[in-house]
Amino acid sequence: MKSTFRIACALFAALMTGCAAVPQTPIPFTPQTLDTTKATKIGVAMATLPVVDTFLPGAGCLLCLAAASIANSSLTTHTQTLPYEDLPQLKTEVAELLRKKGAEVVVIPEDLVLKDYPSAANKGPNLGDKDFSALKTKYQIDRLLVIHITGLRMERTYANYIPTSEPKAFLYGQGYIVNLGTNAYEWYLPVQEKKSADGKWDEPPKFPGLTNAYFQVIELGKDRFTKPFSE
Amino acid sequence: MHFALLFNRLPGPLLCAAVAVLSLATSSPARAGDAAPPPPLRAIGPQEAWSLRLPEADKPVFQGVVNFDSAGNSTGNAFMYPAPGLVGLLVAVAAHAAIESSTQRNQRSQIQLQADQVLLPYQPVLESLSYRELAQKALERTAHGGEKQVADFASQRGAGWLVESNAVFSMTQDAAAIMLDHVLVIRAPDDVSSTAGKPRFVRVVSIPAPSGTVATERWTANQGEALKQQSIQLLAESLDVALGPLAAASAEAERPYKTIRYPLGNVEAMERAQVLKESCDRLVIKTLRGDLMSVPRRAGQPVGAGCS
Repeated sequence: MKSTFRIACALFAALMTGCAAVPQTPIPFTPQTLDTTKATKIGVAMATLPVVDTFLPGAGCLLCLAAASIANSSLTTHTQTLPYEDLPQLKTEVAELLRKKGAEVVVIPEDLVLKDYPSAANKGPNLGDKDFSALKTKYQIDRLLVIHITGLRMERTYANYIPTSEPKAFLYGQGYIVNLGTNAYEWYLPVQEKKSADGKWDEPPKFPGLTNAYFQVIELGKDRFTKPFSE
Repeated sequence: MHFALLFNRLPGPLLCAAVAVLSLATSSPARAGDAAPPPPLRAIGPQEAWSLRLPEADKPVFQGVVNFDSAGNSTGNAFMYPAPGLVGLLVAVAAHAAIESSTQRNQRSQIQLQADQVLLPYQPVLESLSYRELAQKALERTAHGGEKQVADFASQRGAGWLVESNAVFSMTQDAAAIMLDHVLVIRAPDDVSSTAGKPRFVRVVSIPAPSGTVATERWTANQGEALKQQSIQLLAESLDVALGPLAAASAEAERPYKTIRYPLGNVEAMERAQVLKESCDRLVIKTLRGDLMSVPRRAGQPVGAGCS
């Protein structure tokens, strides 16, 4: 009986582990990453920027979510008006830094719609999820640097109906260089930046404290993406 | 009763009412005065007399520069409210809100207390500081107005402008700089109303100590003379910014907003603001809230002609 229970536990644990996606671990950018001694070209692209919005994690039930949405409606309305500022130009900035390091760089003009790219044939640690070989052919590049900002928002955590934090500005994303020959990551940087309002946050309709925090996370995020190439 | 069961059992109007009550319970109350138009700003004329009214306590407030980026932030576990009916649910939610609010208040107090630890080596110096002395010396360094004097908190108002002062000094966590948050209520000579007008908020950040400076030696040497002089300088700068023509002009400023970077001690800070004035070592900016800040120029930032 005891051993049956143990086996059941082990099976359950194995099944649960199998379901969880293993997060990609960071891969540092080193002087060898670019390898400017070889005649290789690197493309620099950005994924489509996310919609700027509010996010209320923890307001799990329908009624909770309705209450939280109503309570934060003026913040949501304001957040949706916030601009990306110069975030779309980040790829140009990164490309310039790579050129200074001696790399031959092509800026991919279009925003990458990642869902439109097929999944990579091989899966595994340090391998890219997507198959960017179409870009390899189109732009004659050997490697692709992708800046993927996955979230740019005001976030306020909840426990059911009750907020457990003040709203904060968040930027989430990752930057990576994928070798288009092997589909292996040669650099991988997860980015998460958050800032709270300085002082009070509840200042409708323009929420200056949180708006300030929003522009701060944009700057901090840009710094995170460019820092490896400016050192 | 689980919320889902309750949700299904509630009739439409009751459900709407519940959502409305819950959303009101979880939102912050509207603040009075939001819609009030700002009072017209006037600068103190070069020959006009003014006095600086001190706060009640003579000991200036010092604290550590605090960062609340990690405050709160935990998504609570979902749980079922023990709610026998709608009223029971509302009571349970209200109790939950009260507990959560108290937890968050305590957490913020703890973070502030932790930040204040940076002041421990300087307590003997801070104990010796007097708001009146700092203000008196700051007045001597201000450029604005004619005759000026310090007025006690309880003193009768004299002729001329009255500036009510309430300053809080904060030391950065690396002890490389001091930041002053100065709230001023400025009353023109003809303003005899008993209610305070809209306060003007000015923040001044000191230029960080050169790298290699040992903070404890810097601030405690010579009975804390450097700390005292820095505090006086910040007060004087804040008065110049708040009372000068710049503050009045800033109300109509139509300059573009951009994200300004400046050193806050040895850390880089940012503020979305309009640049109102640039000098060789400082910027005066107007924030999104309409407050004024005087911040050190970032190292490496281009400077104008005549600056070394």
